Amino acid sequence: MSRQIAIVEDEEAIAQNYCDALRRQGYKVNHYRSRPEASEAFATKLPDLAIIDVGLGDEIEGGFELCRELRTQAPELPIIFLTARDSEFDVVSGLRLGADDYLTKDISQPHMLARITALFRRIDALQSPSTKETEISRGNLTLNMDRMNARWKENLVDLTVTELWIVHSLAQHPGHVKNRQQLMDAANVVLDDNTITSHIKRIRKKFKELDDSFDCIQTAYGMGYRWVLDQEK
Amino acid sequence: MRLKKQLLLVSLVTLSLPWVGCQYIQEMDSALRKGQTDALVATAKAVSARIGNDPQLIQTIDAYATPGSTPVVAHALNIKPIKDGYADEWITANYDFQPLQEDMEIVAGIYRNELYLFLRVTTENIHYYTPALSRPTLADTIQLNLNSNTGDQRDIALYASGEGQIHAARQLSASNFAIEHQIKGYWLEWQNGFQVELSLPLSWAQQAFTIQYKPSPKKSANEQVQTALVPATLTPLIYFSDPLAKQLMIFQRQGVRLTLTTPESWIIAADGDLQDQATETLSKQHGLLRWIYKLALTSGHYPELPLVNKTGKIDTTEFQQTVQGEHSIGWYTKGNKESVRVSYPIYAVNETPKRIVGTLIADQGSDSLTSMTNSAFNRLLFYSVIASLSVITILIFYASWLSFRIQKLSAAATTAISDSGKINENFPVYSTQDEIGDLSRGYAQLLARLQEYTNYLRTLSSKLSHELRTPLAIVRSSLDNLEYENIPDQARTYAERAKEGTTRLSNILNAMSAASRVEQAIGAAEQENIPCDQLLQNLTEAYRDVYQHVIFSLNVRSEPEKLVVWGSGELLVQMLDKLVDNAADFCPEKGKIELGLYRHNNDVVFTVHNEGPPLPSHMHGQLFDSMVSVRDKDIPDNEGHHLGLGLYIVRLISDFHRGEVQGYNVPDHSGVIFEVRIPAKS
Repeated sequence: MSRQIAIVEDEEAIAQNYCDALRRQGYKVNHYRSRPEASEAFATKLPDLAIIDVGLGDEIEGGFELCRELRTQAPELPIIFLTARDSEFDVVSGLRLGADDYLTKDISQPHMLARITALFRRIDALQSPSTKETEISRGNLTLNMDRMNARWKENLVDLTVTELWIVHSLAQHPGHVKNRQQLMDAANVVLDDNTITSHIKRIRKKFKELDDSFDCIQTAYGMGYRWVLDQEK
Repeated sequence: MRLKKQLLLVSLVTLSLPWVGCQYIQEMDSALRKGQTDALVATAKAVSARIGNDPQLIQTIDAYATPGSTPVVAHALNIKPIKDGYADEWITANYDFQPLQEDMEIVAGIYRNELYLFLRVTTENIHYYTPALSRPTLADTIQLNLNSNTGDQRDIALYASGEGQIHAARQLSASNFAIEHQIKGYWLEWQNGFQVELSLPLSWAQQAFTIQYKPSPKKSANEQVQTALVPATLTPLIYFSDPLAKQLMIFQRQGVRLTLTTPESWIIAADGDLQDQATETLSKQHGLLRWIYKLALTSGHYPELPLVNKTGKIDTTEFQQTVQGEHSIGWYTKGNKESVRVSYPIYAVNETPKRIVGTLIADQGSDSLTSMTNSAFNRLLFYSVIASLSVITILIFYASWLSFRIQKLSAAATTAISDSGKINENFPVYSTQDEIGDLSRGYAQLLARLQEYTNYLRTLSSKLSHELRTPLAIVRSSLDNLEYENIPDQARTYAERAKEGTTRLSNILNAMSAASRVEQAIGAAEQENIPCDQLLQNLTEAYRDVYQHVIFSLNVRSEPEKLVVWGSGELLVQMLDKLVDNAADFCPEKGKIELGLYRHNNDVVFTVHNEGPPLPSHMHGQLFDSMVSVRDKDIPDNEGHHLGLGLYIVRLISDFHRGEVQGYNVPDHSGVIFEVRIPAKS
């Protein structure tokens, strides 16, 4: 059974391009041009993944509104924000609303598809019983890249796919400095340094919510970041 | 000229207050004078009328008439002269000698009903009387023809037989003389002749008094001996008449002197004194003050008042007019005082045709006026000095306050936009409703607009990047999809190129929005203590790896204290990244880049010094603005995007750390130094 993806996008050309690309990958794609249209459709049937533009026609933050609605209907539904708006504020708002990822529109198709795949993998992992999986364990951190999740002291850390990839990149070789470019590549994003910085900041925050004493991601000024094993400190 | 000086000059206008006051006082003064003279004229008129109505008084005056001859004036003496032939007491009393003949002059006076005479005769040689002479008149004699008020006539010859007592002989008949004992005197020689001082009873001369010098007949060429003593006409003696003085006394008031003269201008009665209470006050005045008053208030220069007691005659211009039958007024000065003189003709009322029988002269000193105007002037001077000073003080204060406000405003205006183009946000806005307030509000509005516009310009890049992303996404996703289509290889090449183009565009957009993202990062930055030397050390290592084509050196000046700033390490690193990136771009192959760190006052200063072309001078102020690039267009840019955002980000970050960033050329133009000053953590 092929996956159902909903694209909510007011820009016809982009929507059609994404639709084509996703269909080519074998997904079923529905395109909605506005929030009411999408809400109506979601009321009858939920998609497996929603890709939502923040600005929908006249509604500057229609996407956020829609995300809120969807989250109440389906807490587990993966939602990706795809937008031309890349301000830190928007990113934070989007993620706070429970989006799984926040991407700018000029992301390349392979990158986007990689994310979608990863998200579906996470969903599948939630639904399927645990099989033999590859887990990376670094001190208190356990990464499961099949299920696309991270645990800190056995507690699930609520990371987006992008964040998970960054943590994965850092924790793979503890103590090695990863520069921003490397982290961008790992996270399949093409952005500037500040985005990485703010990603790191968010990641730290998420870990700190679980464990106040978390201090495994260290800044190597001018070079990047490194993962320090908690036993070493 | 500064505002303070200007207002000080303006305040000097208040110095015209005393001038205006002086004008006013002078007006007042002249009005008072007018009043005074009017009152005086009225007095004179009343006295004239009184005398002109009394036939007896007219008769008294008429008795003094001296048509065609010169009468002798007898002054009223205050001390009894000593009859010694010396003129000291007369000269000190300031009496003028009256020339009666060409070789004789006389001065006369009355003291206690005695008539005193002093004669001075000029003659080559004196013929004294010797007993050998048959008559006294054959020697040099002084002849007196006297009429008493009882009608007795005496003709007396005075002679001497040498210096010493004189002899008086009354002529009883042509050749009969009798010694007159009541006439005493002294005969004294002087270099040009002789002097005689004598006295006789006044009553003898009350009706007529004629005196002549008769030289000895031997002196004359024709030996005609004049024996007769009686002259052709007898002239009255001019002396003060008591009944007339009494009349004047009736009208006497303080400070007024009334004088009565005959039509020939001989003074025959006087009463009163120009001195009054004010005179005393004035005489106590300080000389300097008096001088100032004189300078400020004196309206004109009047002629000196002639001393009447010198001649016994009033002979001023207004008197001449009175004789014509009109009254007239004249002002005089006497020493440092002024006085007014009114001259009024006295008509015999009951006679026709009207006849002028005499003149009444009323003098009044203006001392009371002067003291009044002086005290007014005093007060005026006092008030205007107070007023001027207070005005000047107030103006100076006001000017200081104004100039302080304007200075504050101008200082604020000067610093409103810093060298780096940053608009200061705490521009003072005055709430005062005056022009300066308006100006400050106008400025503030201007700055606010400028700020808005600058903000618009600054956010333009992020807005642009945001707007461009959507069409770019369309192009990109279309190209991505195109890969899956069957297109000829030729077309695929074009698609590849287009894709490269979009990637570049994408990078440009990222760079463009970087600035706004830095702004956001700043908003969310967490601050901590950053050890600067350590940070710079790490960075230098990192930069050596990244920029292989240049040689890095680190120059951290050793300081007693650690160089620590309070800030965000991430941001500082980003700032230095941009600076170094910039430096490396301009640095020639194998050129040097030196990172420096030192303390200056309370600032930590980071420097990035690279060899290479200097900064263009005209771009100095805009260097750190958004979207300004001073790069040479000829240098091919491998990165494909240099939007001039690097230094803008540097400025944002240094601003966030309350610092200042500056770029300037090395003096020998061998390179460029960028300096970032950040307040040190104490």
